[in-house]
This record gives sequence, C-alpha cells and structure tokens, in this order.
Amino acid sequence: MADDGGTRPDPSASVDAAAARRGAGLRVLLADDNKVNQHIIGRMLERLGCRVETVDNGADAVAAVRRGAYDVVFMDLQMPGLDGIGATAAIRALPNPERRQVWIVALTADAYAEDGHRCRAAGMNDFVAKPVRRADLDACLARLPPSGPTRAGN
Amino acid sequence: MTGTPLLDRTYIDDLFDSIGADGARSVIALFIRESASYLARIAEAVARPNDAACREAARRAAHSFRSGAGQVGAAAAAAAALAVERGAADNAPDLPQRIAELEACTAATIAALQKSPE
Repeated sequence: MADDGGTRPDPSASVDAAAARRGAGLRVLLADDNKVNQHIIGRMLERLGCRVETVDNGADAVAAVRRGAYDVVFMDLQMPGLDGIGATAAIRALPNPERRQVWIVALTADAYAEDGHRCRAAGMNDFVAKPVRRADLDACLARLPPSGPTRAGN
Repeated sequence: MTGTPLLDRTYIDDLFDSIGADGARSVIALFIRESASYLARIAEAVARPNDAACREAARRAAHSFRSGAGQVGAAAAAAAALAVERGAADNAPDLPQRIAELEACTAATIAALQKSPE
C-alpha cells in the first residue's frame, strides 16, 4: 500500500525521508529551456524520489507525453518554438485519454501576475513560481491526485 | 533594483541543502558558463537598435537568463535582467543602459559566486 502522506511531517531528520517517499517512483517530465533550471529542478525532484526526464522545448514535451506515461509534467511557460501554453493545448488534444489527462504543473515567472490565469485557462492543473525551492516541489507533489499512470491505485 | 542584494542566501542555502555541495558548485559553474552566451544574445539588441526581431530575441534571452539567475540566488542579476526584458518588450529608450547595468551586475555576481558560493 502506498503511503499518500496521511501523517504530519515531523520537524526532524526524518522529514527528508518522508519527502523522499513523496515522489518515490513518480515518472516526471521536466520541460525548461534553461540548463541551470533543468539541472537544479531536476536534481531537486530526484532527491524527492522522482524519475526525471528533461526536454528543452514545448514540441519535445508534447512528443514525450505522446510516447510515454508520466505522473506529472513540469512545464516552463516561455520556451523557444512551442511555448508551455501551446504545448499544454496540444497535450490536451491528444487522442489517448490517459496521455491527454496528464497532470501538468506550470513553472511561472513571479513577475507576471496574469500567468496564473493563463495557465488555468490553458488547462494546466497547478503552478509553482520560479525561483523554485525544494519545499515548493514537495508541496506540489503532495497535491497530486491519488492515482496516476505509474502508481498503484490506477 | 537598488536594495536588491547581489546574492540571496535563501536560494543559495536551499541549493546546497537540496542538491548537495558538489551539485550546487557544479550548477553555479554552469550558470557562470551560460551567462556569456545569454549576455551576447542580449547585447545584439544594442548593436542593432532598430531591429525588432533582435529585440525580441534579447527579451527572450533576458527572460531565460533571469530564471536561471533567480534559481542560483543571483538576485540583483535577476532584477537587472527583468529590467532588460521589460525594456526590450517596450522598446524603452534606455534599453542600452539597462543592458550595460545587467552586464556590470552579472560580472559582480560572478565574482561574488567565485569568491564564496557557500
């Protein structure tokens, strides 16, 4: 039985272990064109237990989701070519229902207040503001729906 | 951007805590290596002030640079990049000064990061 986190995290060394379980086994796609972000956010997600694949543009994100089952996609909004909003629209139009319903989290730049509205309108499920802290990612993973393509319960 | 610290310890400490000292040092080195190519793309907008496509490329480069800078705690460089991003979007008359500020600020940031990243 997977532990979906019904207990409060306690403020001790075990917090790290609890956080690592949060992302355990999750298959994550990270779409961001900045290599520093790819590296930092990718490593943070791995530390939370996720298996991370990285792409640097929206078209590759759509192609990856078409090919494989992900529990969550972290999507930068502004990427060269197809941006995060356009990539989300393309994913939401995929023929395979499981693939098109993948949980999508926008990575937004804090300077633009309208981003939150644009993300929801495009069909994104959640958002995390950049710069991203590991606690933000942990909280975001805690908001995932209880079942997903690579998790028990689906 | 006065009042914005060169380095924001919150993000640097989080970086070392989250991905370890070796990971943090290597990503800071990556940020420093990447800075030059971002700044070169941004500087094109000064070389060709009447080229709208060039300004748009500079705006995009400033935006991407800003997110990476923020992520390694380079707070003042991120703020200077936002000023360039907005200046390029609005075709602000002081865009060259904003770019010069970003270049100076990035140089100071790199020096500070190389001196004591932790």
